[in-house]
Amino acid sequence: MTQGPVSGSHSPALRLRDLRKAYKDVRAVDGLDLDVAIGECFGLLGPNGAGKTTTIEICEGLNQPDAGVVEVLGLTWAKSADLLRRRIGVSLQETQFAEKLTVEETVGLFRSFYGTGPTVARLLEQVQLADKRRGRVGQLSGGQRQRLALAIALVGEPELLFLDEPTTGLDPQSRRQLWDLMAGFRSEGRTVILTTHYMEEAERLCDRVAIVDRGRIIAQGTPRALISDLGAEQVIEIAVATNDGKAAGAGQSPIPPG
Amino acid sequence: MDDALQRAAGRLDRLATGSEIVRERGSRYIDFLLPGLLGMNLMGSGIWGSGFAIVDARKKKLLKRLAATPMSRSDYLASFLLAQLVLLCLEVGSILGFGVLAFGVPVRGSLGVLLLACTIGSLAFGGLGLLAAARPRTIEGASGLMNLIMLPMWVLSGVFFSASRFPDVIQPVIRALPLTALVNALRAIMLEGASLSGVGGELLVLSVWLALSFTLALKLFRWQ
Repeated sequence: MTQGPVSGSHSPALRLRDLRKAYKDVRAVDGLDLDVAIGECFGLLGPNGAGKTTTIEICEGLNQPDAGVVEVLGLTWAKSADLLRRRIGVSLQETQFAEKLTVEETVGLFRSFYGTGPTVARLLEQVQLADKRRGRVGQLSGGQRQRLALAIALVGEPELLFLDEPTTGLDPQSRRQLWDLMAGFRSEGRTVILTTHYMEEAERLCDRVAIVDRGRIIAQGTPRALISDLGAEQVIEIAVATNDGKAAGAGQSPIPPG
Repeated sequence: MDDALQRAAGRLDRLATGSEIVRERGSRYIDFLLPGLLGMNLMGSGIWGSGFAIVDARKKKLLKRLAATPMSRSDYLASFLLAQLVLLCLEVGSILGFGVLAFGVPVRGSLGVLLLACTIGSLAFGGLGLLAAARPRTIEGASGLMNLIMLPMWVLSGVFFSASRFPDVIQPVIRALPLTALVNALRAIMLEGASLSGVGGELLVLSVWLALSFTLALKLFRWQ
């Protein structure tokens, strides 16, 4: 059972106010406000390039915002970086671990950075990689690698987990296996913030979802509420090519229910 | 002709003089060269050793993942230096072994002092390797920097020929280079039997390079 935050039981797990981050000519994050409560599973849903990864990396302390307030577990990165790193766990997009190390060695390496936490054996059991523990990372399948990344995210017994596109690129079966694992985190009392571009994933795992596009949250709420607000079970995006070959623009046409 | 004229004028030769090419151990070119090669080798493995591994980890986003943990940044960099030392004995042993057995190159100083000089030298170059790998995102960028660091030293540091052949005005610069310090120390230990105090100046130069390059690498290090 994870302990509650030291900073006060009323502070949200994550608080973002007017977050802004621009790269040269692109405004990756353009005035984003967000509150995530302790114990919630929160999803950031949106297409590629929406600014989800930039936002989550700022929350993880890996990127500096241009402006705005970032409070994680009631603390700021400027003042409490080391303390925060001990209390959060992250799984980044596209991390490749050292191919020649074994699964056991890799988890053991990350485990060594934290004081308290579960044993390597317990972690491998939790993500169902116990029988692969002597295998080299280079020999793992896509789904197994993602489970390894999850085990490593859990290595310090974090109160808050950031998962950036945890199931992208996986086959449906591996994806479902990961969903079962992630559903388990909630019951342990952890707060989970994940990014995804699969609505099904957000629907299945998250208590609340924010839809992000072009650096802003354009809609927020429980998955059910969002779906009924849009008045559609499915949304089709149409891009029309003009004579010069460029797409004229994307049109969204919801299929009416029934 | 000159000889004949002088003898006719009354020159008495009291001592036979002549010239002879010296082939004594310690004064041959190979004796001059081997410490230079050893130093150059330590530079190469020191600088290339950590460079590639770090740039590769940066490309794979492994550095970014590590940056999200409470891992000590300086511990991470220092681990590369320590890993290099594991291979040091093998490296030094094989080059020295070859020189001594195949060419009879002398090792007049203490083996302990020699090993100390090699260790400090290897660490100093390891530090330079960390500095070269601190920012580049590609292997090409990193190799470019590493070559830039090594090339002047290959030419100037007295590996293949004495550095005193260069003009006086750049001698202070040459003396400050880490490879010059290492090669001079190795030559002094092997060929002249210098003790620790004899090479203290050179080892100090190497230690300063180690401290400066490590500190700068830590400061400039790009984790993404």
